[in-house]
Amino acid sequence: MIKDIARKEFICLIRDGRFKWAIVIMLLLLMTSFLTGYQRYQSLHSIQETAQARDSEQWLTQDKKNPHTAAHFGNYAYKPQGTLAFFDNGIGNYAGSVIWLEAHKTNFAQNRPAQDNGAVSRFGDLTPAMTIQVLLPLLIVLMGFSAFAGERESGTLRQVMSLGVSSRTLLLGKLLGTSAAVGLVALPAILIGVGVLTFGLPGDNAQAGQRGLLLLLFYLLYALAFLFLTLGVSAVARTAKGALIALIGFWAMATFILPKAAADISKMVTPTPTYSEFYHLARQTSLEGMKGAKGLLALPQGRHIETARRQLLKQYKVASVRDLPIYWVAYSMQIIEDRDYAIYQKFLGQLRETFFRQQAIQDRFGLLSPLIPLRSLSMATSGTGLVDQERFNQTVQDFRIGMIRQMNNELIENTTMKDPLYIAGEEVFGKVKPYRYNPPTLSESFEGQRMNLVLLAAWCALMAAFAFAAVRRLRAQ
Amino acid sequence: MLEAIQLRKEYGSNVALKGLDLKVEPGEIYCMLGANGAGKTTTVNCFLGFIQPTGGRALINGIDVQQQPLETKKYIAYIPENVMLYRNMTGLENLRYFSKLGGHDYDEAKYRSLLDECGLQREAVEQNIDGYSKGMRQKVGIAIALAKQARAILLDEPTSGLDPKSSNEFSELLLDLKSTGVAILMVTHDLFRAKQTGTRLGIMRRGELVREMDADQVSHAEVEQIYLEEMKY
Repeated sequence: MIKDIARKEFICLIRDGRFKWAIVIMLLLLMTSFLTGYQRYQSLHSIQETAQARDSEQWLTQDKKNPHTAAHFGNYAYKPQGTLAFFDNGIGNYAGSVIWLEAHKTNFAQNRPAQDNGAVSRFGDLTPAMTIQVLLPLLIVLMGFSAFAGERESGTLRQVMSLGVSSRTLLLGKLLGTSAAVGLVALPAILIGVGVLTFGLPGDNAQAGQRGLLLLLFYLLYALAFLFLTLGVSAVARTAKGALIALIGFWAMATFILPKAAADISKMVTPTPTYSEFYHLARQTSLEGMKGAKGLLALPQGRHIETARRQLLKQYKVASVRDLPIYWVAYSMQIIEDRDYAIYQKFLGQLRETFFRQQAIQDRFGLLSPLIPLRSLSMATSGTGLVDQERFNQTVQDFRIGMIRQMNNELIENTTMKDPLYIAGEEVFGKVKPYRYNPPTLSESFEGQRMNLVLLAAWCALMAAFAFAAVRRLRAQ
Repeated sequence: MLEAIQLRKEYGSNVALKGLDLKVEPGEIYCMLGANGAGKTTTVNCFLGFIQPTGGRALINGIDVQQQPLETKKYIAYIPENVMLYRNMTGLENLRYFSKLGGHDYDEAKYRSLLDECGLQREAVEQNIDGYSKGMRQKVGIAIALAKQARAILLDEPTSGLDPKSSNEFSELLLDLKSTGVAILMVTHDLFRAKQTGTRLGIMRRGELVREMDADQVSHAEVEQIYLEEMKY
């Protein structure tokens, strides 16, 4: 009987003119978003490949020079996208994917597509993820709001209930029928997604299959939560119009207002410093010493270097840096580099904690909107979330200090104060291998996602419980 | 087959049914007459389980509707004043769907013959309900009831809006069903049809069954006279 009800529901929906329009619009939007996502991925991937190759060549073939000067010449580190970034580019638009590596300076990631967008693009990119997160629930609402309320108004519910159909059977039938109609839209999207993942995209495909399946599961739970909610509201509403108003209101709250409010509130509760504030504080700390730190870091920069100088003279049992068998200038520059690295690490760590705290605050709003846990899980699964971005930022800074140390060591070990001239070429620069991003494993990407997993599953379970409770008291008239 | 025992329904201070006692046996057509608001439809709704009585019991085949609502619906079919069907489906599809919900599935020829039996024009069978008149929808409703092979049928003003020919055909269908032992409770304003088709007539007034009579013991004129007398109060 469930199958019969589902079949009837499906037939009535697909024969409905409004549904035809809704499905055409949704399919068009999905196709467009997949196309733009694919195009964006391809374009960024190709730009990165070209730029990475050119930068590596430039680094290697730069004019012969002092290795420290070469470190100033600098290099770039690129964050390659995982293949699923074409589906959900997460915070990529705002976080940046390139970091300029140079001596003495810790830089933030640059090349944020959001910077190049005009004011109209502030609404957000038309990614497949965004299209599904926002428009799929709307489609479900439009298809399901009259499932019970409309039938009650038209009188067919009375006819159905007089036949002894249990409300539970009716709910399951309508759920299946509406799901099948939604599936008509979702199926092309899934097929395109699988096709693109399997054949269409270059880049890192590690665990892409598992990640794709997980995405499917999360979006399925999300759709189910909205399906149950829609049918439940339709069952309790007096009129179909009332059900539609209530559901559209919830949809707007859940997909627009709450996610925006969550982001704003999280920034209010745990504010992030501005770019200039961050650098000013780090620079001041470097000059004056880090309060509360132990050892040399607590000293002002000048005293730190002086202490290091004395220790070095004692170690080599000489009276002047001119008598040292190593190049003191490069050594002192490396001291400052190491010192600044430690200081910046501390401040970057604080900044990272702030971002994660903001994320945690936003995630708590998932109690009010199923979109919030889904969005976090979708980004984490697609490898475009905060965990991935921070891993990139951290590994790049580690790479940078290694690169600078390598260049300075060349100077320290091969020159002295009496004979400081040292010109290096490709054989030295070649010791610095290009930066390679090693993306987190699936389990690493899911760090901190436990609450979102629970919340998404809870939304689905709660909406199912609500729908079953609502139809238990189903009125025929 | 259908039995109401001291059936009572109150809506706040308004009493819709005041302890109704009623019995409709197999092979009987009980026509319930009365003005609007007399409690006729409330009685039907109590048998259907659509409203919960405040007191008393509604029994179908000896089973309490309140206690086992789904079980009791196995024995009944219902034809409302306005049979409402799915407008995006054809008459045939509607019949097949409702028949399956009622627990019966037949081959297509049977469905067509049922619709034919109920007087639906053959060319209309595969047309969408959107283009159906009220009378055509009623005929599909009757076919649904027939397809269910119910042992009791509840009818709420079923001939309202039907043309005289269709109304007459409908009466004949009811008489056929009666002869097979089906118990029928029909709520109607149509005194003529009630006298012509019914075996027993009951007159409801303000939630009470004020008069009962055997249809074959009274003439058409007497039915009308008794009815009008009862409506004076």
